Amino acid sequence: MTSARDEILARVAEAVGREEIDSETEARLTERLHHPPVQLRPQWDDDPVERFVSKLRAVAATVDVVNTAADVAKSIASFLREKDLPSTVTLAPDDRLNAYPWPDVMENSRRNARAEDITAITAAEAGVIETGSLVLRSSLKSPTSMNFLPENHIVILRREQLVNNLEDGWRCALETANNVPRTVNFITGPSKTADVEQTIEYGAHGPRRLHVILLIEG
Amino acid sequence: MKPMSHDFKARSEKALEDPVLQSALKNLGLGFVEARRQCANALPEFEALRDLGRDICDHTLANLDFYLRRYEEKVTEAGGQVHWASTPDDACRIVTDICRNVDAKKVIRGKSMIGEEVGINDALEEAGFETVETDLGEYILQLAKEPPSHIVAPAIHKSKDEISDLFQKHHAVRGLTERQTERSALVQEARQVLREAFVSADVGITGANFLLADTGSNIIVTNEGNGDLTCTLPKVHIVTAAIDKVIPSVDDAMVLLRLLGRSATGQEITAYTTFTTGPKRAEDVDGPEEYHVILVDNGRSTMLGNEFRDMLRCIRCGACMNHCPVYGAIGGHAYGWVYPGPMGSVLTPMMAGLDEAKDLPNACTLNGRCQEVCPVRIPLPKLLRVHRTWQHEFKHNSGMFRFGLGVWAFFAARPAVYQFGTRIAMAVMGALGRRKGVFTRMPLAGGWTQGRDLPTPQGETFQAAWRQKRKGQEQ
Amino acid sequence: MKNQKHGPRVGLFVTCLADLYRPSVAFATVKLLEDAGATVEVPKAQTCCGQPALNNGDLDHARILAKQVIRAFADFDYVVGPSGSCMGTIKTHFVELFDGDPEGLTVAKDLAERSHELISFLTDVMGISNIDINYDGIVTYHDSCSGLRELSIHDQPRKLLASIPELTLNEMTDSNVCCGFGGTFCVKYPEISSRMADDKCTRIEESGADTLLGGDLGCLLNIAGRLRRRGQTTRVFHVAEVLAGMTDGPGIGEGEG
Repeated sequence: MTSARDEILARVAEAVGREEIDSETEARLTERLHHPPVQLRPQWDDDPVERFVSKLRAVAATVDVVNTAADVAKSIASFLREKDLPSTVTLAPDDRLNAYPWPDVMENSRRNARAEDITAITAAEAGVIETGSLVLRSSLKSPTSMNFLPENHIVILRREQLVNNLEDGWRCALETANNVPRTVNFITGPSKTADVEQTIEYGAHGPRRLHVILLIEG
Repeated sequence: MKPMSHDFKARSEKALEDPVLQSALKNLGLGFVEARRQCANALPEFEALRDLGRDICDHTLANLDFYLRRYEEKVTEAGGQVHWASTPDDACRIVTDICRNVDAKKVIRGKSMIGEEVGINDALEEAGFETVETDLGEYILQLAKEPPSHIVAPAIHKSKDEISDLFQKHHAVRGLTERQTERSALVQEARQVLREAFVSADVGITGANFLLADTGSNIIVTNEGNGDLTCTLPKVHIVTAAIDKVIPSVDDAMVLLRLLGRSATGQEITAYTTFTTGPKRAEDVDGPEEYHVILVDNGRSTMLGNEFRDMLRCIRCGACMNHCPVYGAIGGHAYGWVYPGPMGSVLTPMMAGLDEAKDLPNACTLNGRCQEVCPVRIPLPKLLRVHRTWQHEFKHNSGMFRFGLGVWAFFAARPAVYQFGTRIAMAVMGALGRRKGVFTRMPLAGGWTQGRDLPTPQGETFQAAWRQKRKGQEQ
Repeated sequence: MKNQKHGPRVGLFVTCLADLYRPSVAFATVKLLEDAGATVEVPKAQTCCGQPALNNGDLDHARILAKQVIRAFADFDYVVGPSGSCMGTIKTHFVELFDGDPEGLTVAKDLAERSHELISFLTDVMGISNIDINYDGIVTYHDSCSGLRELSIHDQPRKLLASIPELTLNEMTDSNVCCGFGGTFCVKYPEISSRMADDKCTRIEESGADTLLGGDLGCLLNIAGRLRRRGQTTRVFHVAEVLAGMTDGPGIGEGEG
């Protein structure tokens, strides 16, 4: 008895006009998979930082460009104050976040986010200049739930992490070429919906606020 | 979902008189159409990307046997399981079996058109699982027990008042008895209610915008983040996807993603573009323990081999229906099934039957605006004409109509007789209508005159007048 | 082209609507072509391009009529007609009918190359950029779908209209959105068709124009019919009639009484 798999593949084979794939075609297609043609990627003249920041702001994220590690903490403190948010935050268990001095008054909890968390702070793998996107991956130190469960998501990004196009962002999320994480998120702004009368509202299911701190040192 | 396309005429007439729907449809032009136009104009590479997108899809479809196998290998390597379903029933059976195997009680869903196509919600509910749609638009429709009317903005036909009523009625059981009227309050209430579903669900089912053969990943694109929560929190993640969703590599996918957002809602990129590959890794603290992909055929392998292969390029952006003046007049429910507008008029006859959907390929003026905006250049008007050719061959159109067409064609192929007869007919019509300039009623032309006057002919035919003029000149 | 001693020989494709309904459009076409320097003949053995058959899936009859057109126009330098949809059918769809018939395909392709819609023929082939005529009015222009999307006709009529001194062109919103005619569509789905025509009439009203022009009689009859039913007094002419200075008689849907 043929399985659904065999039936479907047989119909597909008939439709594309060959019973078997010959070895030459197999090799050619395999090569294309391993070395895909570099497709057209958008280019631009803008200053990279300006473009990245303005793209993010255009989708209602807030962005602070700072120059020292100390300013990172200050930016967080003023964000929480301005939005009237509690000083209790959840920090990702990410060693990259150890580089910043966290004020004593801020209660730190280095763990994955829970549904009731108000604010989470994470690092990111990259920032994509093309679209103003943050690239985050799932890992022990950067659980995906942190990007979606809390009401507010703060991301700390370094200038060196900015890359041009989406394809570059993807490559930053891979530790090696063969290691694909379970989840890779390209995040461009806070959660939103226009399902009620075609008008945008924020915080549909994911965070209602996305705050990005871009650290440009030296 | 049971097709109701045979009811097209009645539904479309009803839709024309529905003030809530008509108001929503007017916003389509101001909303998605204008947004797409601005976004496309802002990207100099847009037209070149459309050609690339078409070529990537064509290449994939021509080698789908290779790419489906590779995709399956990669998913298995990543620790996931691939299931194959020829028919909607197969797909539903596989989903309910998986849910039963893990003793699931509650299932949450991200938006998935293939899920609608095969009727997953009905199957799950019949099998006794509590099912919750998490996309806000789909959630609203689940409460209203209505099908989607647009593939990207499924609840576009619902007014804020209707949503307020639905929430008040259905959320009371959770202690939320106050009727919300502000948009932000409605969204906040939905967030609260659905958050509970996210954290307590056993199984999360999402669709896929694309499946990648090089990594075995599936890509979902949302603005709400519901799809992401659906594929991260529950213990089991099921992806339902059609076989034509496979794309070779990430680089190919990025081309199509650049086209998708711009064409659908005029966005460069959505808030969340997410790639998931297999179940959680050993070192992950969240993510599903099981990852299943159900690849659904449901007629696509047939389309791959006939005149409709080009239709399989579709990336489900909805641009065609946003720009279709017929859709813009009647909305999505008139089409009677999952897929409305131009792409729905091509697909529904293929999947639900040409006889069931016989109006759909005909309720089109062939104006071509759909093809003009299709990001992967699908020749939609041509495909609709292929359906009409099949309908003519299988005698699905009305006998009266075929007869009329036949009579007309008979005379048109015989110029001398045609010119003799039309000369008389036009002279009569011209004489009758000369004074007023229009007929408000005309036998056999009730279809025309019910909505507009029929201008009168000048009374002479050009051929007759020309011959006379020439004769006069020669004399 | 224009100043050659012997101008090109043009076969006039009358179109069935101009032939039966409004010959003045065909006479205007002849005048414009002759003024541009062409010699015009009207083959007798023509009735219709076959679009109703083609668009309704009746390929056998469509093929018969296509062959009739091919035969009738075999000998002309150019074939020109006052309709984007008819000439679009001849230029882009006839070849589809001869799959597996290499001879038929050859003659269909040859005809396609020699065929043109009137306005684009005047501007793009005959190099006409202005018309020596006057029309005092505020006009708006409806872009018929086939002409626009199959034959890229958009700028050409506007170029010629711009050369007319007293004529003002007010673009309407959605000038390129279908009016709801669609051939047999308008009688098969009359309610939807009327709604689309209605929207078009509203756009015309909003434009402030007193005259509607277009390049396709099917569209113009449809819109004029809806204008009259709504009691709108906008005059409706085929653009060829204005360009040829033949607007003294009743417009489309206007009575003499």
